[in-house]
Amino acid sequence: MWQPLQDNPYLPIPMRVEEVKFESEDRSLKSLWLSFLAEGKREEFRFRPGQFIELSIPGKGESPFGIASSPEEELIQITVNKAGSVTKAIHELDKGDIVGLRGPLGNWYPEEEFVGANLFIISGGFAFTTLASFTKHLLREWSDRVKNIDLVSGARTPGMLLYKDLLEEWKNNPRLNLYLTVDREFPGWTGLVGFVPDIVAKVKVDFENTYALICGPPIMIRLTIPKLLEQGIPKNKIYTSLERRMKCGIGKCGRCNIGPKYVCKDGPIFNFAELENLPSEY
Amino acid sequence: MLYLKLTRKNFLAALESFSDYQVYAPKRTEDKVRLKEITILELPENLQFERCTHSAKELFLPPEETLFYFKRFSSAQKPLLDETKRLIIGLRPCDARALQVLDSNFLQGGFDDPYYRSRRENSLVLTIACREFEKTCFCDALGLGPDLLNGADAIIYDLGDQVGVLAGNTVLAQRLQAFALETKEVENETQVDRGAVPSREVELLPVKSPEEYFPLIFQDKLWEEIESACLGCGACSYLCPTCYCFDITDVNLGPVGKRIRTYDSCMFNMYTLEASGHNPRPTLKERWRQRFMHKFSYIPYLHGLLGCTGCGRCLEACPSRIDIREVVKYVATFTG
Amino acid sequence: MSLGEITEELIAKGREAFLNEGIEVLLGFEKSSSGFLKPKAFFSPDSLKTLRWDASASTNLAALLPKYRGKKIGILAPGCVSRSLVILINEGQIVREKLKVIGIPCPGVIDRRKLGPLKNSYFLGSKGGKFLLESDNQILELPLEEYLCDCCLSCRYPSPVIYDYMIQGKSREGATDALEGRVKKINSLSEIERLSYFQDQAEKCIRCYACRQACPMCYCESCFVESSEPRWLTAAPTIPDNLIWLLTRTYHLAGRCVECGACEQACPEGVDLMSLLAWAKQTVSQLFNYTPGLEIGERPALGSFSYDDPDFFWGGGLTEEKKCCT
Repeated sequence: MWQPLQDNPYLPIPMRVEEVKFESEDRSLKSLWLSFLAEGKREEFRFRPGQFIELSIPGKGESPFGIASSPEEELIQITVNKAGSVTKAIHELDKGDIVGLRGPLGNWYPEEEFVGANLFIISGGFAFTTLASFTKHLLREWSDRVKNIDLVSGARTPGMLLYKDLLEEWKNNPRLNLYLTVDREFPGWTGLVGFVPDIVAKVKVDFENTYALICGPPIMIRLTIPKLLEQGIPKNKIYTSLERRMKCGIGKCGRCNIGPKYVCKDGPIFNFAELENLPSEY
Repeated sequence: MLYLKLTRKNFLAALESFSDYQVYAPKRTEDKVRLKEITILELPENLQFERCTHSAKELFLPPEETLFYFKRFSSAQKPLLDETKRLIIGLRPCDARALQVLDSNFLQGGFDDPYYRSRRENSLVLTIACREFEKTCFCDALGLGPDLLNGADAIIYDLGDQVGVLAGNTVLAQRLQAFALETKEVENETQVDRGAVPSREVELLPVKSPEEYFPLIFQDKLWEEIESACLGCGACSYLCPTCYCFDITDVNLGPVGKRIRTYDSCMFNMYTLEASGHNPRPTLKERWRQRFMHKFSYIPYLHGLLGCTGCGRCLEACPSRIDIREVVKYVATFTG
Repeated sequence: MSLGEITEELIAKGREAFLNEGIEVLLGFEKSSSGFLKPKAFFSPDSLKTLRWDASASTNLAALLPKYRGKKIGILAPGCVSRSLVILINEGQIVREKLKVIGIPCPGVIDRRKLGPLKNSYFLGSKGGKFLLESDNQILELPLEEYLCDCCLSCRYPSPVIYDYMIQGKSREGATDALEGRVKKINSLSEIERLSYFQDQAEKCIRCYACRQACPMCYCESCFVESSEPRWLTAAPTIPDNLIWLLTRTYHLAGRCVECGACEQACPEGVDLMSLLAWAKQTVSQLFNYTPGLEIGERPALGSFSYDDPDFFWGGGLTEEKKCCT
């Protein structure tokens, strides 16, 4: 068994894969649910929506993943896109396999700031993970402390939409307005059609007192933020989660920096006013 | 700190009390000078050492460091931290300064790097003041100097048949005191006899304050000019005493394996290449700019000291002969 | 060639290339802070006043071409660089029509390694068969021949094989066997001594990839060292890993290396790179009677097939004269 040395931030904590599930029809996206091998570790592992973990496959490497489960859930859920050698190995994992985890890393969505405001949650593609964690937590624990909740989630095709069970649940939840969109018309698709930035421009929200949380590929973020600004949401009320190639995840190896900030340590959640003062290297 | 005067013989005798330390000093092999193991008896009495072509980084952040071993998919062992006691003598003030920059990354900022800390805490660093400048070094142009303690455990000044030792480390100071001719408590280097400190006519490079670099200079076409010469190799980063960026990879050794960290460079394309294929620094323009900004803007902003020590190894090594001093000068006088 | 003369003609030809041929960028050299020349891209005819060429111009400018893909490019080319261009054309990396080559008859380039402690002196220029250094307030005049790269000493093609303009002057005459001599010396050692020699070289290597970046033939967007599946070598600079790096690069360059020596000049650690590359070149030359980079349209030896290629597998075998390794 691994001996997790908490004073050594490079050493992973051993985890068991409890459940796996493909999230997209082309099987490129797979969710894993993990439990801690050691007793009492789950209670010690306190995280907030927005944070990420580094998953280790010994012999293959490590990759950062946003935590898709919310803090009140027992198991830790991540959703992995098969893109390189490490994620390919992760896709080959099955129930019972042992992996390593380092975390929780990074900062989190500043929930305290959002009290009393409207929330506009925008997600594109498979970047939905931490926003799903945030939304689940919000709806279960503190939705009475915010006003309106609008959620836009877009994907290339209906089959690529993440967390379809969750989305079904939310369709019937009176507490939030759900807008699901795909890039083009599809047979059997009754939801919206259009790119996320265009859909965002059409959703009517009270832009006076709204915080926008937006996650997605860089191009989507670049095109959506102007739409939000046009409508009057101030820059410091737009929060985004950035992605970068990461290795140490703790601000030592140097590679994930944007100006003097590290995405792994000072992020991945940044507000747009902060980003404007940083080089646009993301 | 304590300033002591000793005869050379007595100084070396005082060092012998550190018998549980492995001694390292600069040693030449062909055209390279690096820190090599040596015994106290072999140390030259004149305490003159050549400047290392390779920096002290090798001993504190080695080119390959094992983070931990693992057995495939079932267990991992406790990593072995390097607790070798090292007495490193003969480095220069710029090398000590470089260690201060490395400290700011590995020992501060939330997480602590146990591997680096272990090496650092188990080492004594004794520098010698420079007697002359190299053709390529420029610490004085950055407002630093060849006679500064820079956080080393002690710096040794050449006073002819004696040495003057400014000791920042109290344990070391105590051991030297027994052998010293005279001692006194001082606050800084200017209060002590430093022997013949070299000086020269040098144009002070006007380094800007960190905030002034962005966004003004960031968009300038200076970076395109540098891009036209830069080949994108890692020579500057690997030889630089303050460049610490590293890569983490797993190595399989049959039924066991290890996770190692190795040197990396922001000049390589793969440094920030994402799995999707997107690269936030796609060309050498962005990458060279990053290296410069990191040393002259981000590190000073975060830690209050320049990320460059003025050692000049980069401009000596660069195959395209890019001179960082020229960039500093251009940037400093840039008004937009 | 004397100080000043070649410069004027270079600048004039450079201007012509911009104004008459419509190049968008000229790859040349300018003086660095140490007086040695450094590579520079010039984007306008007026910027050409700092354009220079002399015996300190050790960069192979063809290595900088990928930065300006798609543009019409002017480039200074002594013999080796022109051969690099031919190979790049033959390998489909650039189009001849988009190149304007200013040919330079080359007297050779100084090996910074041979300068030893003088390498940090200030370089004043080269003139006739000599060059001038300033060191500790003294001016030293040194003979070029003693400090030329082994590659230049052995060079059989100092004049460019393709060009659009040709600068006046005389290229170096009389190729020596400097590189062949290196290979012979190593081959005369016993097997154990040879292995030990290359292990020593591998020990020096820090895997900074300066050699790869300086080489015009290493233009792969993703080098084999970056492959994780399969992973050919680890990221650590150990002797076995470094040997994999050095030897594989040698094999990837067999039949493609023009022996310009830019890799050795770039290497900060003094690794002996040219012995391996010279050996590979000799081997290809003996097996296939082929020298790379001489003719546009020629088919590369290791990228084409001919019925009378030497054949080890089917017993076709090597004749005594074609055997190259002992």
